[in-house]
Amino acid sequence: MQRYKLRTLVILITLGIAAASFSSVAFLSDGLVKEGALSLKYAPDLTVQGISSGRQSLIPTRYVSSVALVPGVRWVSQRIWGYGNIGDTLVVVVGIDLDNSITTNQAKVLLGNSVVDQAPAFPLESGQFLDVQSRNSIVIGKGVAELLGADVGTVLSVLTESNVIRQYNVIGIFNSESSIYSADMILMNLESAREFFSVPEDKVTDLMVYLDSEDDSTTVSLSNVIARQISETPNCRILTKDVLLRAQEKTYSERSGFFSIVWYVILIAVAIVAFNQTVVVGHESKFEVGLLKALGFSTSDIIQVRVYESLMLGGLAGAVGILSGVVFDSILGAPILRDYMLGWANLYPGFPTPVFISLQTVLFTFAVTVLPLLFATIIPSWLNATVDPDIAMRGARA
Amino acid sequence: MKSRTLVLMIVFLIALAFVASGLSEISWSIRENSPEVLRQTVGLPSTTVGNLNPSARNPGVEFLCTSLFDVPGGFCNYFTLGVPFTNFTVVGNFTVISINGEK
Repeated sequence: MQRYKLRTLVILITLGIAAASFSSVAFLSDGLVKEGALSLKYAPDLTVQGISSGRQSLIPTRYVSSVALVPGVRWVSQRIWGYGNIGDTLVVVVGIDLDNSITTNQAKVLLGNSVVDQAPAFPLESGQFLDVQSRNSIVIGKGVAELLGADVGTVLSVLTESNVIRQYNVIGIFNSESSIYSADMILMNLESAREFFSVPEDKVTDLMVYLDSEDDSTTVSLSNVIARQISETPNCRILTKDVLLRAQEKTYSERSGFFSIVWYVILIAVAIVAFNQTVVVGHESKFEVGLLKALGFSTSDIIQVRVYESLMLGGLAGAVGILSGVVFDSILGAPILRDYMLGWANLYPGFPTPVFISLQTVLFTFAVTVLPLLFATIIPSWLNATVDPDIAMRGARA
Repeated sequence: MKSRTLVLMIVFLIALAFVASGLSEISWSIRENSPEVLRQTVGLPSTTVGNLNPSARNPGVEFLCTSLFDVPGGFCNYFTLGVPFTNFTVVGNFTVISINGEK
């Protein structure tokens, strides 16, 4: 390796770039899929939305009782949520039914229907979470707090969709660890959200449906059966967890696929460069090979040396590429790449980019840096090693 | 000596890559087994995206669909009854129930 420094350097740099570009995209894509799957883990098994004129609309609250009666449904919770904006920045306003949320219900199941003494541990940086009596109180994400310069105790005057000014008291701010899903969120109780979006009393945005199934393997089949039954309800559509997960995976796979094309091109170029360099060096090293054979090295010994050289070079390039990808994603926050994967010009740079350095991706990266190099070096090395040492030394001198 | 140092450095870097992977796997495993009360309460399965323009939030193949918005001709199945990837039979998923009086 040291003898043919230029060749080694060329192969190392090009392979390292290929490995770095692949690994950085793969780590970020895997992280986003993993984060999406984690969020879906806590999502309702079914989300029932209203449909009108083929478009999503509000759903009547009278459907709550009919959906709850479907066999296999554990309970149903109402939700009002939508989008608002602060200038050009999108925020998500969520109104939850605190009396009937899954968290409250689970606590009641565990502790009985008496008053729940121990409040769940919400990820708050400061302040407190909403309670049933909270009216016109909000808990906001860190991104919103920083955007508005708000703190616990701040009173926000908000212009709603119906051009009515309403005042909300900030009682809590979510912490940085939850920023990935809470940075743009303004959380309030159901009735406050109803006023904010001017939603009629008999309507909500959607219904969160939780099923009886405890086992993940049966949940998908059970949710499909129940989804079919609920779809008989007029003017509604049902989103299952499975649908949302596959949509997320497809989206991030498609987006990472664009970069994969670049990586494939780089890899093919590297293989060609490596092959070319090995042929050139192979010609130059004929004397060296002839000398080794004259000293007693066999053909297999020479090929073995070349294989070890390729393994070390490929391993080094792979390791450098992987570690570069880790640094690019985890420490630098994957600039440009993150914007593409999440959407251009997203205005919340503060949340940590989810990165998953899977063992599968690491092994695959090493495989694609080592195997093409082995292929590109073994054949020329074998051709070189099989020549008679006397001819090789004379030919090299000539 | 120089060769030995080089080999040790290569082994160290490869080991470092696997250590990074191991730490990441452990970290995600801990996260997956830790309850996330807020996510469970809110129930919204998404990550933070902070841009108002739907086409800006959806690059690549979604651009044409979402940049045309919800206008005639701007049909996009993300906004209709035809939710992609559905794998259960949707009852009543047909606008036309008969043609020329035949069912």
